[in-house]
Amino acid sequence: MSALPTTELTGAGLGFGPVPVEPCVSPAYFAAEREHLFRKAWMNVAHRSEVPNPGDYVVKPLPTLGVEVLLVRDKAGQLGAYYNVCTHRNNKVVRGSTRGNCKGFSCGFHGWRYDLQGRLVDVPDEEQFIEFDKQDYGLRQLAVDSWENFIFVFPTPDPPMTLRQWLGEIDVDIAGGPLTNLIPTARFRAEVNVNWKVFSDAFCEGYHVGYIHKRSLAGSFISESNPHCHIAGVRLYQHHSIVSILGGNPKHIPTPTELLVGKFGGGSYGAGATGFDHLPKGLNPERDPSWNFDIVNVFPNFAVHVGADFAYSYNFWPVAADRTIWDVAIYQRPPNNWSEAVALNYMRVLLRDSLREDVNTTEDAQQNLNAGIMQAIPLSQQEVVLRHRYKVVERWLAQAEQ
Amino acid sequence: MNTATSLPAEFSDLTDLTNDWALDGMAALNRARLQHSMAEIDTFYQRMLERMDAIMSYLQGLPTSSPLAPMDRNLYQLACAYMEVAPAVELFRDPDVPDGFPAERFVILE
Repeated sequence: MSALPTTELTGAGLGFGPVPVEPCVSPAYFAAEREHLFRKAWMNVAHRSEVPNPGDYVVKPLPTLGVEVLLVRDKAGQLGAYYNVCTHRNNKVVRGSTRGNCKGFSCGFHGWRYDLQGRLVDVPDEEQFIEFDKQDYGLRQLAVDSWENFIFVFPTPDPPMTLRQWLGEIDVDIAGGPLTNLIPTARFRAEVNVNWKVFSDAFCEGYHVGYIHKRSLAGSFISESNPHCHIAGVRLYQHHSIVSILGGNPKHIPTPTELLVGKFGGGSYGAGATGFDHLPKGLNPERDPSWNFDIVNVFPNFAVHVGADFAYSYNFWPVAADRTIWDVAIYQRPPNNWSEAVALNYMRVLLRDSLREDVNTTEDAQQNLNAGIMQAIPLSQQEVVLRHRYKVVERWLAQAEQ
Repeated sequence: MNTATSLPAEFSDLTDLTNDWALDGMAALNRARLQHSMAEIDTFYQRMLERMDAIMSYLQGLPTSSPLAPMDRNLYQLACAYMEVAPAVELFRDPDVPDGFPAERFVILE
């Protein structure tokens, strides 16, 4: 397994030197990120399966902005996104139940009612409001759009570019792939004392697999021909990136459970039963036979790991320079029978346990970064996606300050 | 017959496992794994492993388009419990994840 060609890396203008840690510890840097990046980016907040039908709604937090979003599908099936803020005295319009189906919303404070398109339709005792027009006080809107069943919002109703434009080549390269047929089968959440970029960095290379995952994944991932779990390749876009993760140790002796899961259709890393033919060109573009999955990093804070018949998504929501709320979802194909349903459990359990291995290093690392022992850290070519993300954030903030 | 803890007739030998392990959903199953000793988990795993092929063949005949009857649901939950403990037995040799982020801070939502 050869290292990545250096031309690819120098071509990206990323250099090879140590990367400063200040962006991972500085409250001022985080304040700039929140203002200039998270208020001005498309961000994933939900999956289409959470609001499939007219009248469906779901409330989702935007922790970084300290506010909630109300996603609503109107009678015509059109999706809308509104701040969950009554335009009267700013109470939450939807409280308690965060998901359901309804004909409209009523604020519990003074009974202001909104329809499924966010319009203010009734104000009790309206004549007491002078120089007041209901039309001016609909729910405040965000832009909303979907991609591969993932619902994204932009904090204002008039984004400078559409979601498709924002996704750019990623859309072209991987749309229409496995993500279209998968459904969410598990969700996890953790609040972790770590910078959002350091956190994201934990999921962007194969270098750690032989160490952090020595008990869980290493046996099936690490092979004689790829002892350091080198990646198959990386695509660096203007903002986003995709990394192809290899696994498939031919000498791995399957556990009894892996044999059961294989026999009864619990999904698998690599081609599994499905092969690679159905994959869009942007996933496993090398068509490497030992491919496991691609890590698709959608800048700034969303990542989806896409395999032949499964996916995982991560949302990293920074709430301070060294604190992040992390949402995880697993997506699998719908089982045909109840033994498949059992078998599909195994991947969920194993991923959950291995994620706990991943996350456990992050708080220690953040404490040490905060202590300022190292001002910059070296990164290998296998970790080029980390280098890329730091550069994209730096460039973004520099442009914002001009 | 108490359908809350009973199994299809051909799996009645596993009935004594249902109180502890026939639980609904990943969060409950993970809690059960963490509340049992490694010896207890090993015993559960071994007894289940001997029957998993038969259990899976039985469940294979039940399409997900129909909800499970109560006794079949117990069997399904036991099989899911087997999947829950499998990494503890086969990989970690520990009910919990060694060097893992604390389970109580890693929230299983659904």
